[in-house]
Amino acid sequence: MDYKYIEQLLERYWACETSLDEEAILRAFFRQKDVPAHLLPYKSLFAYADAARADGLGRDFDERILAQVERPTVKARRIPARRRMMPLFKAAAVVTVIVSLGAVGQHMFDRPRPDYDYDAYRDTYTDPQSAYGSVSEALQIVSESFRKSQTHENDSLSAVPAQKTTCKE
Amino acid sequence: MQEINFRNDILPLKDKLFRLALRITMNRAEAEDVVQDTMLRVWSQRDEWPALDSVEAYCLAVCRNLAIDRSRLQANRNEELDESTAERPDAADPHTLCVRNEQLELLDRLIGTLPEKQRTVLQLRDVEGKTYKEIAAVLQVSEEQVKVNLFRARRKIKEQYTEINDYGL
Amino acid sequence: MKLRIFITCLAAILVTAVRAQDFASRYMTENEGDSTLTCISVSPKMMEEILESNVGRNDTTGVADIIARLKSMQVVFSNEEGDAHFERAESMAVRHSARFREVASYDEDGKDRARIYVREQSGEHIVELVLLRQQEGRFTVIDFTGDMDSGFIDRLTHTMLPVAGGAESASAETPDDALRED
Repeated sequence: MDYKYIEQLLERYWACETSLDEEAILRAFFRQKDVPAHLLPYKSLFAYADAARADGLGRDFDERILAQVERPTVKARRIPARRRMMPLFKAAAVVTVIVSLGAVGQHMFDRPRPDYDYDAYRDTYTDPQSAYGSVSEALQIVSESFRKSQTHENDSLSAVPAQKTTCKE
Repeated sequence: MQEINFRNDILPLKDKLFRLALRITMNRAEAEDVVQDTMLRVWSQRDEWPALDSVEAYCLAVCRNLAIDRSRLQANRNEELDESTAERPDAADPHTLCVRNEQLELLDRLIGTLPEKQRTVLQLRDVEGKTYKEIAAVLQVSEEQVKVNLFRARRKIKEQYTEINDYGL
Repeated sequence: MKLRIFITCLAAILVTAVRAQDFASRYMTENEGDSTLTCISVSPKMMEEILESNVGRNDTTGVADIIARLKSMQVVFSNEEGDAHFERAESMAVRHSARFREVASYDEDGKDRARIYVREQSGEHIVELVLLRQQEGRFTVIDFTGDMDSGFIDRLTHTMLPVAGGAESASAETPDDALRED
């Protein structure tokens, strides 16, 4: 029998050129009992994935974690204090950790607000005048795009109306 | 907005998370703790949308980071999760490996000698069947980098495994 | 000892940093190797400075009210492969369709097209507004985060916004040009 196809797939597998489907084909092939001698060395390599996928956690894990999640005081157990809260350090890194953890704590009770990572924003402009120029241009483009979409009504999925009610899906 | 339900959205991920954590920590008890920490952390932040596409990708990313973190904190754990080819001891956990087959045990150990990134990529691709895009999202790297790590991992395993087997003959 | 703790914090930060990114940041991350993309950022701090500057204090057009609702702006653009970039961005928005809802779009025979998405929280509260636009080979993402709602969008749509430099707004040919940093 000609194993050329499998051999080609194997070459591509080592080159990481195979798709998920092709990798599934290889695994299926090596799952067979009778694999030709020259391909035998690879049998375990592919059988490995099957075996690994069989591993997991038992039902008792479910019980344990559900007990914690469905408790009203889940907040207290959320993050192991011993590893995260180290108040004596001056490193900015630690300050960030503590601040972010504090923010998480608040979110349990406050109205949810997304925490965009604004610290990662590096300002392009150094003065507000230039920034303003850019912002007003951008606003104008957005405004214009809304207007254009209204005149092309058949293309929009749902134009934003003045009334509130139709905003909801 | 999107309502995340613990039982339906988070809990079902337990096995995948466990396998990833196990791959990184090489210790079942540690891995289980990591999964628990991951789920509680993600659950406590459920009002926030994670930056990654899906809850699953976000959970995998958190799980990976916690597993790396935990590996580093272990006193008896080897220090390097980097390019070290030191033969890892079986640690304190004789039940680390779920498979009894000697060949598969060997593979488990070989994969354990890979640097963490390569291990994780191999795990997410060959065992969990994730696309390069999904893996890139979990690791916060480019797809190119995913492919590079996968390439090195597969090649190393192939070389070492076939070498050992040839020698054993 | 200190190194271990530092690494712990670093790991925690990495987990934290995995959290909220706006669409533009996410697009830049997903297209890391693409050297044709440029990103302009205006942070919340700079937004405040705008409002405090002459612009904000002497405003007669209503633009200050609009800017007051914004927390940040990011603009991504490219002069090359407008359609490929646009399609990639659009598919990203579709992938995150639970997060981003399309509220407006138009398509002029593929030569000029746009999609506008909003990210909402607790119903009416719009926290992010994203415009994807393609004009021939040019691609633009305009991404605002802030405190918006449908009334805000209404005002934005119907206010004649001044173009920096004082020219009439509606018929600006290539508004994107002014966004470029030299």
